[in-house]
Amino acid sequence: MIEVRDLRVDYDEVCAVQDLSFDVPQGEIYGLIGPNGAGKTTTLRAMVGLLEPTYGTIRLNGFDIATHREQAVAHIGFMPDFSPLYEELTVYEFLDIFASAYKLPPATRATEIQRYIDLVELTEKRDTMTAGLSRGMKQRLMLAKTLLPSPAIILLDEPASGLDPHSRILLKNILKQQRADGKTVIISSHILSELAEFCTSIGIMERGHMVTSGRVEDVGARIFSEIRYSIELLGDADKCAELLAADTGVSKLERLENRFTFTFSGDDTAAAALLTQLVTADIQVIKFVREIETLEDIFMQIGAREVA
Amino acid sequence: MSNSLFIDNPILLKHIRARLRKAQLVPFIVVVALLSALFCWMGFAPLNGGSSGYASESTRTTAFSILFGLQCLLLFVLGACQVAGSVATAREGGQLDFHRISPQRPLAIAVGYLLGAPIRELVLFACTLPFMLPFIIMGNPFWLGFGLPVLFLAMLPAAFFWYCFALLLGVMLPKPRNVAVLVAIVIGGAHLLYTIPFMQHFTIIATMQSTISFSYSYHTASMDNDLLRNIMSFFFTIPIPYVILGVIHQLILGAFCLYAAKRKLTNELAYPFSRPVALLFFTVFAALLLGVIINPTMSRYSDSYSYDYSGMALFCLYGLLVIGLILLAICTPARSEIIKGIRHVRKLGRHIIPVWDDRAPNTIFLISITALTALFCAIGIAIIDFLLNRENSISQQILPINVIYATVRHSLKFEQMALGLLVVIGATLFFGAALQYCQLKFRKQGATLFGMLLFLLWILPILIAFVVSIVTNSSSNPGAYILAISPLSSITELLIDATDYLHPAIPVLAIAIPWLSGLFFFIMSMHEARKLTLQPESAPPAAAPAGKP
Repeated sequence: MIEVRDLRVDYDEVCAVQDLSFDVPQGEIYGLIGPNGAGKTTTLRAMVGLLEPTYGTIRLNGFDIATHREQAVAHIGFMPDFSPLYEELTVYEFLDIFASAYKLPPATRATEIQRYIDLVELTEKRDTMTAGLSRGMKQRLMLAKTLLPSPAIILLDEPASGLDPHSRILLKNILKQQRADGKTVIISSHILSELAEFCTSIGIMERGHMVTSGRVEDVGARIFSEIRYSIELLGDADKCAELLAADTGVSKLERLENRFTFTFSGDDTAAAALLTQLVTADIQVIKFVREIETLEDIFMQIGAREVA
Repeated sequence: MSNSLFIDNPILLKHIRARLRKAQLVPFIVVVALLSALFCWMGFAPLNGGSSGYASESTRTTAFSILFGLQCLLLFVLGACQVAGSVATAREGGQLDFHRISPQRPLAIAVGYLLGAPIRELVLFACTLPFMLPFIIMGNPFWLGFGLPVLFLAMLPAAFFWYCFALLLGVMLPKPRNVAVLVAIVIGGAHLLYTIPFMQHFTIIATMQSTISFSYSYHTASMDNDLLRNIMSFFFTIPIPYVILGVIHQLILGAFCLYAAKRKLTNELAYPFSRPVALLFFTVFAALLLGVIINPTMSRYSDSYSYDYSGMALFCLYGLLVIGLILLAICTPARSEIIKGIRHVRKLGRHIIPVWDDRAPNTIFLISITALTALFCAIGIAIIDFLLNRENSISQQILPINVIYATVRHSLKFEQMALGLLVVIGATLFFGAALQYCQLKFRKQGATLFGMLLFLLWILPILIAFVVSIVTNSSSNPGAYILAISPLSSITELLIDATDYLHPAIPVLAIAIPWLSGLFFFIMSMHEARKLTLQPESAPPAAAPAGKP
């Protein structure tokens, strides 16, 4: 669906993105993560053809953006990190302009526009001038504009900046629905909590390079060769401590009264066997949890490596 | 195709909605209608001293001219300002990027701005039209019957040219906020300078004057030469109806502006012209310029045509020099662009950027522009010299009318024009080479340092010569030597002053300085470009600071 190969983008003599390669299959929500200045926005702008790369190829839905621009952009919805609206138009008129730009059939145009106005909860603002909208509303209107042509590929640059908690939830739900509809989404952000709940794949950028890229669990597995577990018990915990200490897969065992945390090097079957062993030994286990690494964990781990 | 260009064009739609809201439109209509009514009343007021109890013929013509001036103001100046301002604002605000990445073709975007941005001005223009009816119905001024259709037909291509020009400035200039003001100044300036050959083909004033004169001749039955004189212009001495020649100029140059704007609408960072198109533009522009300036004008003092040979030579040399310099400035890449080009070709396994690529150093382009400048200037001065020497024999062959030439023979000599030509070539070479060298050597400061260099070599000598001429006040003006340093003044100096009276050192100085400095910078810029090409790929520079790419 999206294929980026050896992408390099220079601003004057500063290399903003260097030798970037990654793929995003259809139906993924791909989080492009990185600190400010990592090259996320540059990458997205090059992907939609707003920046001419120094070299490299970008293929969207099978079309090379450099050679088949018109076909490639027909499949893209792009939402930049700010909201450049036409402030002298109403919400409906603004969307109508882009319905025309994306050649939506005139017969269904009004219905489609209304559907997206409702989707982003701007129904009451339909005939309000866009200049009179709050920042969050403008962001939502931009999202509606982005989704209006029903693009196969949706590129969102810092979409949640300026959104209140309710709007963030709305954004999250809309993106999940888009994924369910088979759309491919790339979302860039440096706020990891924004992405944590719905990204299926991630790419972590640092100083113009792609440090790692792939499905979240694969990236996690690559980064963390060992997995942390936590156990909570009722009653005597000494026996449990003995059993855990005796297991060869357990390391870095920590105990806080009747709670244990440890690193386990075995796979899921071995973890299940360990739990069975504890229960069989009459230990009253009330919690046996694998601590799933968050995007923050992954990012911090990679950041530490990069710095090192 | 036509559907997306005109009917369902989103940018046209946007402007229609934004600029034709009742609350904003109605006050403007009221103001324009009141002004138009006032001018209309001026032409037909019963107390205006005319012999029939109504306004006199001249008052009526004046009233009509003012009303026509209002129409021109709305259509050309305000309309073009809106085109430039609208596209510049959308570019600065980021809305234009949305259109760039939509399936809209760049031509559709351009058409949207050309027709949409001035939509309110077009409506206001339409509102003035009913006030022309009394003039038409009454048949006054007398020339209106013939002139009005011609005038209105001539306005369309003129508007096309100015709108395309405004669109180009809107997508090109780095600081878009002032672009509308600049467009107004350029259009106003062009209309003020409408008597200058070539410039007159872009203004409606000259067309109006020609139409009035023709109609006057027609009505007063003073036909023959007068009739042709007023309706005809000359292109390489071939008589062509004035309006048609103007339309040809406007459509051709408007199309080039549209092409350049289209390129910029596709890609913000693209150069307005590719190098081959820049050379084509230069060729076409040179042909139009030479065709128009080699043009007999009617003597004010006798019933004869005469040639202003010095004026023709000056227009030829300066006109071609200026357009060559503009194209060099547009098509000379910055160091960072050349580096990008080198990286790109290296990635493809090559070592040298193709010379016609936008990112190649300007060496071959500079040579081409210099050669074309030399060629067209040489053609120009050869024709001028031909006319100068054989004016009597040529007159009967090329002009279809009875022409009596001025008896005063001009003192302009071929040697003077040839010296001027050498200065033009040197100046073009210097400009292109020095610009590329400064860009390559001094990176971001290159443009500033080049500006400083131009000031020191081209502007400062003129200022110093001016001061010296005032201070010394002697017959042997030392300022003449200083003027020779700058090509801007030395060309005039060589052409206007008789060579016999110039000190031999002055032509030498005038030619040697641009040529030597031009060759120096040419060699140095080639050296810098070569260094850059041979330089191995270094480690990537540090990434941009946080918050910036």
